[in-house]
Order: sequence, then structure tokens, then C-alpha cells
Amino acid sequence: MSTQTDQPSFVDRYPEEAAVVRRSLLVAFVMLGIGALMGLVQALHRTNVLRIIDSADYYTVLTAHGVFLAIVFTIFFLVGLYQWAVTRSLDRSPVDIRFTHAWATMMTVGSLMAGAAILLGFIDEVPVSADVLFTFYAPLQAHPIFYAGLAIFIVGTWMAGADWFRTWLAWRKDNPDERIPLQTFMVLTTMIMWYVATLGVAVEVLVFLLPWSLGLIDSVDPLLTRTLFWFFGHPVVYFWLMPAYLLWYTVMPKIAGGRLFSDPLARVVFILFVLLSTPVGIHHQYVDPGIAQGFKFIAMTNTMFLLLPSLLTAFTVVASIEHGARQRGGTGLFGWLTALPWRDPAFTGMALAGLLFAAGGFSGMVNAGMNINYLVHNTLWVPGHFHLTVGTAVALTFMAGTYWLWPQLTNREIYSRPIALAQVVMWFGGMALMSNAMHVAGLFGVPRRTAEPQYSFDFPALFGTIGELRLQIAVGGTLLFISTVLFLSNLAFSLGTPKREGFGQTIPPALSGPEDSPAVLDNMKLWAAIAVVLVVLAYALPLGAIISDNGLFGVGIEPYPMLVRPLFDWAGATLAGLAEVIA
Amino acid sequence: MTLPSFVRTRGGMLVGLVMLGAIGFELRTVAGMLFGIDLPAAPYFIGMVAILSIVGVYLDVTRSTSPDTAT
Repeated sequence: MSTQTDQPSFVDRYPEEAAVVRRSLLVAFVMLGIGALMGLVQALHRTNVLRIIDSADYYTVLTAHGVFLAIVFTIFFLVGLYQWAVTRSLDRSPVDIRFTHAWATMMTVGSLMAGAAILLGFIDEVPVSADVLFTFYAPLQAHPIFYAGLAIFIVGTWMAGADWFRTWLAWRKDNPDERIPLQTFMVLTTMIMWYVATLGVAVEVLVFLLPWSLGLIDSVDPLLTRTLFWFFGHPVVYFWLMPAYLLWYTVMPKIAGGRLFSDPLARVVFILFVLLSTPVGIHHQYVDPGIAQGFKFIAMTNTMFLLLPSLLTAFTVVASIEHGARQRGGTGLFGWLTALPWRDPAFTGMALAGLLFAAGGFSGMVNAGMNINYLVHNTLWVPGHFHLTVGTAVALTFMAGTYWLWPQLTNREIYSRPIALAQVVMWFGGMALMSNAMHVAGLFGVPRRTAEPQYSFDFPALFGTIGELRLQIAVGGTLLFISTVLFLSNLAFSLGTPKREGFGQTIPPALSGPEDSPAVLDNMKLWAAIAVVLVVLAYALPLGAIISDNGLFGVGIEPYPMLVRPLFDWAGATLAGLAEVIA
Repeated sequence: MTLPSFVRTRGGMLVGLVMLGAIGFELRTVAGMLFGIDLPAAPYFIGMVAILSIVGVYLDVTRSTSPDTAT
């Protein structure tokens, strides 16, 4: 956690920006609380331990859990963290703080609209619902408010990115020969990846799902909307991860008492994410008919390349904290591990998150392999995997990072360090229980996304029993919920601790600094252009084949909406008339 | 007696014991999935928790009487 220093804190130097960061984190944490409650209800329901909802409402719970946590919590935390990182590392305010407030407001309004559409699904008397799950592709259909809210939310994130690019361009005008500071570099590369990735979901929502839910078009092609969703759906994983990486690369070495091992390696990792995050989405569609095996194979090989930045990160981050441990007096081949600040919840949370992320990486390789994916597809293995990645590597890192960042944003100390430490350790233990049971149950064939996983099937367990696994999920889910409550209440009580000075923090320079890396790494236009080319290569043919086979709106459906048909007929007749006149 | 540094504080002990617990927990999965050895859940986990508790109490007592104890 933040230690006493003689530096002015972030809120002292940038009070308006700190207010934006706090507001973003506040929305993130409210959504974390609601989403975690939904997770508890779900875990206890499907394991048959406690049923307080009707099974018909299970998908409302599941959608709220997924959307509130995987989209709203993560992305609001991201924008808050990135606003802090850009302001801090460039040491300057946004070009126009009103624009900063505008995107924060747009994202909040969008979240409220989408969230309201989901939660109204609990009230039968209100004809609004959005039980479409986090993946929200056809054939499931939500109320237009849900799609409109999502669209506004995403436009808000685009504006946030534009705000950070403007701030950087203004800084560059004053510092033409300087390398981009590492944290700003991470923010800019993340946003390039996000702009490319969200093209898919923007087309899906604005061209297909929103007009469909408004009744403007009668039908959509599920395969096309699924493909457009996964165009966005895989890179969004890196949109969650990259802020966690920012904390691991720039904050964790400092808390460990050392310095980042290599700035150039960190830059290479983020560029690899820009290039490789998007042209891999088809690996989520291995069992989809209508996409040729060759395209799936290309997606698989691209996905395997993504292991490289993860392994580079494992090396760089571990080397950095080892450096910190040795500065603190640690010795020996592994003895340095005991010299790390394990009493500090910020450090321990991030370290445990990284440890479980390694396990999540291994199960991710199974998901990504075309041959063995069939073994686990749509089973409980898959949520087991992403509870290790987004549910721990990202969420636990965000919570741990908050323990370090919050005092700098408020000039108030965290209420209780022991509670914070117990909280991060409890998350680790709860997730070890829950995700283990999910992975094992998935291997036994237990399906995901159902309130009644038992049906009439008999799942033979290789060892233990299915009942034991269900209990394990229930206990793990309960521990995770208690951990969330501890986190939120500790933070709420922190609002009452007395204000004082001395929370300013600096981030020491890397052992190998930016001067050791080629300047081409900072050429944002180049990497953006290569990323677009790779996406075109990966997606042009599969999308072309889907549209060629099924049309834009499904087999046998007019290629354009009935509503605009007269317009097209008129345009056709006019062109034919013109052709006659010319002839 | 010189203590291993992770035992010098209760926070370090907590993290260390939970890590050992997670490893012990996963060992049962490895035994079942890789080697086909079905270790009965109740005695295994009760035994594991009992051993970890005894180790924890012993280390805490040792810690509180050692000059290495951190504040």
C-alpha cells in the first residue's frame, strides 16, 4: 500500500483529474458489488445449495453478472486507471477537462441504460428485458435500450481514447524529441487495439442488432453476428488485461522495492497485443458450422502467437520483482521470494493474481487448440478458465492496485491493512476452489450456462463425485463474495479516515530504459496500419464467405431491409433510366 | 532460532499457509486426474486443514518468542 513520502499526491497536483478517476472507480466498484451478488446467487443456484430465484430468471442473473463485471466494472476501472496514468506520466492535464467529463458521463449513461434493461428482466410486469448474456449475439434478442446503452458506452470509450491521444499530441508538441513515457505508451497502444476491435461490435450492434430489436428488420444471420461479436469478443479480453499489465509492469516492481527490468520488452509486449489481439476471434467458433476449417486453423495459429507476449510478461515481471526482493536483502535461488513484501495487500494481491493467471494461461491453451477444444467446448471448463483470467488476473489486480492508488486519489489512508490482506488472500483461496471444480467438472462434460446442469444426465466422475464439485463451487463462490464485501466495505470505511499529506508516489525508471529500444516502437501509425492489415487478412475471406453463403440477414432473406426496399427500387429504376438515356 | 522470513509476520504466514493449502488441494486433483488415485474428500481435506492449523499455531508460537519477529 502507499507509504509515507514527502511528495505531493496525485489529488494535490491534479484535483480535477483525480475527481474523474475517483468517479470512474466508484462506478466500477458499484458494478463490482452488484455483479458479485449475482455471481453468488448463480453459484448457489446451479449447485442446488440455495435457490432464491426462479430458474427462469437464471439468465437475467447470468447476464447481469457477465455484463456488470466483464464489461462495466473492468472498463470503468480501465478508464480511471488510464486517466491517472496519462496525467501522471505526461505530467499534464487533459487538453479540455470538459471533454474528459463528457466521456465519463456518456459511459455512465450507457451503463445505466444497459444495466436497467437487464435488471428490468426481473419484473414481469415491465416489457423490458435483456437476457442475452455477456456475449449478446443473435438469436437471443434484447430490448433496444440495451443495445443503445452499449453503443453509447462504447462511443464514450472511443472519446476517452481520443482524449488521451489529444493529451499526448499536445505533450509531443512541447517534447518533440522525447520517447513516449511508458505508461502513456501502454494507454495509447491499448486504445489502438480497442479502436480496431470495436469496429466489429459497432457494426454488429448498429447495423444488425439494434435495427432488429427495433423491428426495422425482420431477421439477422446468427453466424454473421456471432462472427462480428467475436471479432470484438476476444480482443476485449486484452482490453481487460492491459491495464492489469500496466499495474504489473509499472507499479508492482516499485511496491516490491525495485525497478522495472526492461522498458523495451514492455513496449514490445504491448505492440504484440496491438497486432495479435484481434485476428484470433474465430477460435471462439471452432464448432460453428459455416466457417471453413482453414480459417479456424489460421485463428488457432494466431492465438498461439499470443502466448509470446504473455511469456515475455511473466519473465519481465518476475525479473523486476526479483530485483526488488534482492534490493530488500533477499538472497539465494528462491530465497529472494521470502524477502518480498507479502504483508502488503497491494503486492500480495497482484502477485497471487499473476500466479493464477499462469494457470489460466495453461487452460487457455486447451481452449485455443482446435483438436482439444472440442473436449471442453461449452462446458463448465470455459468459465473456469475465464474466472482465472478476467476474474482473478484482472479483478484481483484491480482491487490490489486500488489499495495502492486510492490514498493518492483521496489523501486518505486505507481503513485496514489486515482486512485488505485477508481479502486478497481469500479471493485467491476462493478462486482456487471454484475454478478447480469448474475445470474438473468441464472435463466430465458438465455444461455451462444452465440453471439445471444435472438434467437427467449421469456425469461419471473420474475421481470424487459431482456433488463434491458442486459443493466446491458453492464454497468458492461464497468466499469470493465475502472477499468482495470486505473490499468494498474497507474502501467505504476509508472514506472516513482522516485526510493527511504524504501520499505522493513516484515510479522509478526502468533498469533498461526506453533509450535501449528502437524509436520505431513508438511509431503508433505504423503499428495501427499493420494491425489493420492483419485483421483484413484474417477476416475478409471468412466474412465474405458468410455473406456470400447466407446473405447479410440470413438465407432467403432480402439483402436489405423491407423498410428501405422502395428506396432501392427507386434507385434501381433511376439508374436504369439513366442508362437508357445515355445509350 | 532464526525464522524463515515469511514467518516473521502474521501476514506472511497467512499468505504462506494459504499457498500451501492451495497446493495441497490441487495435489488431490492431480492424483485423481493424472494417476487415477481417488483420495476420499472428507478425510483428505480435514487432514490437510488439521496439519496446516497445527503448523500455523506452531509457527505463530515460535514467531512470538523469536527475536526476529517483525512488528
